[in-house]
Amino acid sequence: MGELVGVISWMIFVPLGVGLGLAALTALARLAGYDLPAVAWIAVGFAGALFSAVLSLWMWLGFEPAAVVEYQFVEFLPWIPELGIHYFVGVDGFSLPMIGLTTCLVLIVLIASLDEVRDRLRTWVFCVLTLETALIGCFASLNLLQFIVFWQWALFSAAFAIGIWGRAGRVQAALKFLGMGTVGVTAIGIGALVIHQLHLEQFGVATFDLVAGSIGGSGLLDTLVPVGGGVRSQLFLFGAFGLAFAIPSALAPFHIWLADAQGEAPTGASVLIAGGAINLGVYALLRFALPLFPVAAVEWSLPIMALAAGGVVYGGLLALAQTDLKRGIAYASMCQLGLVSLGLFAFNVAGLEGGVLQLISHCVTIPALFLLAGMLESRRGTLAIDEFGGITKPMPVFSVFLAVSVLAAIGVPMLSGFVGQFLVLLGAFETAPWLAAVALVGIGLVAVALLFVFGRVALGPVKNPENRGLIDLGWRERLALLAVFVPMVWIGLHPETLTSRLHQPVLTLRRVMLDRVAATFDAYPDPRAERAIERLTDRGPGEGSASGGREAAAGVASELAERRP
Amino acid sequence: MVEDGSYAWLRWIPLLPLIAAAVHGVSLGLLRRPLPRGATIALSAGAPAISFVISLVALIELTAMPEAERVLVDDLFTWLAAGDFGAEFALLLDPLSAVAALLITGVGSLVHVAAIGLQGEDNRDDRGFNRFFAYLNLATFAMLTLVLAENLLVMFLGWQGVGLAAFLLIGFWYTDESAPRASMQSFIIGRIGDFGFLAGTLLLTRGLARQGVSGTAFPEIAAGFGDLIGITLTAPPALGGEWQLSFVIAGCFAIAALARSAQWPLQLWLSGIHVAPIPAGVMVLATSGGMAAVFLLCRLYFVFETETDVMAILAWCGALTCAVGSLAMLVRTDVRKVLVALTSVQLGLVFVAAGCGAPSVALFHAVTTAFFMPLLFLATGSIIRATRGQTDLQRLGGLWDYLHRTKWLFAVGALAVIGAPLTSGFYSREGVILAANLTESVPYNGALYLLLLATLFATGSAVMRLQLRIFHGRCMLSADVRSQVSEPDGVTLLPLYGFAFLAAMGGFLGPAAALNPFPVEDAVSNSLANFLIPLLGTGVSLEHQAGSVGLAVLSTFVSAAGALLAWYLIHERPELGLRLRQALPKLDVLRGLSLAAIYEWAIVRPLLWFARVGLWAGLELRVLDGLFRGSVRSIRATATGALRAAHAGRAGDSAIWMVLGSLAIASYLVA
Repeated sequence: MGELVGVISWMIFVPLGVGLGLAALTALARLAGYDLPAVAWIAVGFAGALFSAVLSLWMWLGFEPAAVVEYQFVEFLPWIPELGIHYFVGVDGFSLPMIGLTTCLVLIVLIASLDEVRDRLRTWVFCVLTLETALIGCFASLNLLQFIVFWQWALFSAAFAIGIWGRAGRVQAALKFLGMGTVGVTAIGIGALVIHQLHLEQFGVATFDLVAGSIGGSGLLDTLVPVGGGVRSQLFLFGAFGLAFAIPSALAPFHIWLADAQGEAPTGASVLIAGGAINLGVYALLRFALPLFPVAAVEWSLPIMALAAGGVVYGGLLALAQTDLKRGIAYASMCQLGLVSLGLFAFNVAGLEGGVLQLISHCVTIPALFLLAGMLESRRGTLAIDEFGGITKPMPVFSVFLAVSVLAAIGVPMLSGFVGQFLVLLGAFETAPWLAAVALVGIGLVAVALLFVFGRVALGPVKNPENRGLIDLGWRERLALLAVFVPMVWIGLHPETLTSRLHQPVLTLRRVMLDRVAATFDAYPDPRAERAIERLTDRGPGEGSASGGREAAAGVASELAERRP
Repeated sequence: MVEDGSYAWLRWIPLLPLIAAAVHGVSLGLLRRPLPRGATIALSAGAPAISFVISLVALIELTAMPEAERVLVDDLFTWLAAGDFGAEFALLLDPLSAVAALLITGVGSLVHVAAIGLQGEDNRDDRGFNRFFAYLNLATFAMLTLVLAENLLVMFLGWQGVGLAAFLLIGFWYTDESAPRASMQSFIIGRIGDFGFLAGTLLLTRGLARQGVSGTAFPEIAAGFGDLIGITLTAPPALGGEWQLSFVIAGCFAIAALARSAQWPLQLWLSGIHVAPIPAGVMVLATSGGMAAVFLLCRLYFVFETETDVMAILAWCGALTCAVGSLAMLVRTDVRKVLVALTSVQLGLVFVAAGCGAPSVALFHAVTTAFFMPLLFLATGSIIRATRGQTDLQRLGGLWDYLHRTKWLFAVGALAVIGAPLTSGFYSREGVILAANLTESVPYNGALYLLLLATLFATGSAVMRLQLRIFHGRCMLSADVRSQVSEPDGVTLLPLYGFAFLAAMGGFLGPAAALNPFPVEDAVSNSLANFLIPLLGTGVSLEHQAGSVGLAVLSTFVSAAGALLAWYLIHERPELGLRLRQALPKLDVLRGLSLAAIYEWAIVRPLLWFARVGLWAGLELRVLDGLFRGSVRSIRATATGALRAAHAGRAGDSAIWMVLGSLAIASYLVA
């Protein structure tokens, strides 16, 4: 299935290879008594990252949005076949934008780090490149164990970035980030091992693959009936996967790493965490947790939506309370992520597409805000909001960028924030209108909070004499910001670019979930499975006949198939 | 030009101002190379002017069509689609939006031209001129998008754009202390309105989808809305149990309209508008803020029509705005503040009309307001310019002999705003009074009617006060300022003549055809209301208007009495006037303080305190972080304890554990 070494592998491993090559070269040069300059690292590292970015663009262009096959650009390489551990990668409409954004953001981070990173620039470049490899490796994973390995790797890379180049409280923050992240990875790891074992016991096949990767192979989703002795065990297993989703997605109360890590991290790490690492939870959810345990997902959905909607309000209020710029942005990020969870767990088309759209928008707006904060920090050495005021006078271009980013983040139409937000709310209003209303209040709060931040930083007279002589953004900084602004405007103006690629995976996901819910219902007649069918088919209680779950599901599946573009 | 009923040139109406704004945005925001003055003027004033011409062509196209088919649509692309839901990025021109677009582009162009003179000299930084025009273009674009929107989503784009433009225009002097505060206040109140708009949109879309109407275009929504009546929303018992869906939707949109046009109790942000440059104030209040709100009411009139409770709320909020504004305009001494209050009163009248079930009258009064209020604002701008920035009514005076053109322009505006017979204000105001007099759905409509008469009285007084304080009495200016008093050049005054013409003659557009002293053959069928009838219904029916002459006489008499009283107090009994003026602020302060204080002490401070102390310091740092730290500590204690036992002191060496763990996992798997 697919070529042996294809575009995705190049994309994953070229950054790592470049990093290792540079390290080896530096060591060799040092032996020869010569020191490889940091600029060479940046230049070569940038070239490597650019290579990945060009490949991701090429993949974006070659991707067929309406293709019937679930995954494109698939590569499969047996690794430990006895245990079902393979190198198995491929993309669909969910992962395509995540990968594209990651490659872009790495480029931006490398450009920005020329102004930002003061010491150990070479190590920094190495760290960023390994993080890129790990992130792309995650987003392309179709093998559960491979995903977990790359995830843990990404956590280490990001934690190093925070711990070495961060602000005063960096070590604490890095440990917290690493610790909580590892809890999530451990949870999903244990879950993976358990389903692997159960799968082996029930179906006699040892596999971590999602679907069959090779001819004669077998995947976890190939057997319709979920593993385990019934709905109860699925609830536990989904709990493990759900924890792995909740921690990176900053679902309250698992968000406590966020403000510390993002507040203390260097700008580059903040950007890559907000634009890359945070997606890992959503990827785990969409790729593994929802298809594997749909009944449990539906059963858990209302509490999770409640946490998400509460998180939006909570994040908004805490953003209002912050005195530090980066921490304020971190809580705004929590708000947006709450909306993502709210939409995804509505399980309808609007909610799922809106959730992913909101996530992508988050990956653009929050990094832009962090970049801007970093530019202020590198000029003033502080991020206390009260230190600033009237920045527009000395730094007008900065102010314009800040204003547009804030507007995009609070969901002004024609910028990226609005479309995802609207679809999420539309989806959530369908299943839990009062929770959606709560989230709507939270959106208002975070808007006020971000606007206050803008006003206190940029407007008014310049009171602090230290701000009087600030130098406006240089060309490099403008370029880095423009690179984030292009998707920011484009997503808002023409979200079809993304949604046309999301229609197919969303329909597939809903179909897989329905099929498996129906199979579960046949295998273990359980009221929870029946409820899940009702929820996923979006029919009122009593309409679906008790025994006809599978028929109802099949009917809806064909209905869904008809609606395909 | 026309292919399959699609009118692709419609898009240029909003697009031209957007392009102008974008050119300024790039040249100022990114390149820091402002366009030369001439190019700025050509670009920024030219764009709305061309849009005006296109709107005119569209209107002509529209009137040539049969009455029932008067709709032009320009579908640009699919904006947002997911599952059943789909919203086009499309523009729709029907009689209602045609009128609004003409008004916005026409009045907008005049404001742009006036701003060339007024803003060109009133400059504190080198790029202020370009920046100002960028904001004006943006405001024009936002308004045009709002009125030409084909569905609620595109309309929301315009809605937020109007709020954003207000934020930018009010906060134009961003280096001042007060302007940023005022602009933030406007944005936050606007945000409350956005909340209403978004909630209403979501509820409406979802409700209709449940009924099988998946489209979002206005004609579809209007046709499908009837199915929603009678549907209830179940709420938690604490929130009242069951709500009528149609009531909630109408309520949400009502909040949006009230916030955008600064109606009581959301009018706090009015107090800051006077810090903006004069043309900005015109744009924010007279042409975009009020117009946006009344347009929303008209466009979604099918939502409000059946909800008499919401309509009554609208009418009473409008009336209270009138009352509050009347007090303010009598006691303020800053001429700009008086004008802001005067505008707010006009918008209050608009809401009264809408709430009383006469949307076409409401729209008409909003239109005439957009004729005479800019005239007064811009004439005042000319006065302020001539007096070197003097805005205090106590220090102005005696300018009648100095400003030979401005004085007449101001006088025309003053006559129109107090509704002197034959001026535009007369006709639209008569419509409002008539609507308030006839309505039966609004509770305490007698009190409402009396309140309106009191407002007319106060308007007469306030305008007479302005006239006397600015132009008559002793000239308080210092000799050197007096010697240099001059009027702006012809280009700046030209739009003022345009506004003066509209303010004087605009009434003949209106629905009050029975009051038209010059009966033209087709006056009735050409009137604004008749043009809008297919969309808005008849509102106040024409038969009623025949008997409204008595009302017209009464209200004119009341206004004149107000003006006479002001003249008497200022001219004949200044000491009594002074005493009254000193007594009134106490009332005013009471009013201003109470609302601001209620917001401050009941909402803002508790919320911030709760966020800072309760959530941040308490829940986040103490409880959640404490839990995390506590669990880390206990894990570490256990782990080190176990490690000590196993390894005699090599604590924290997690590598060993990782190796052991992976070995265990591997052995488990292989076994």
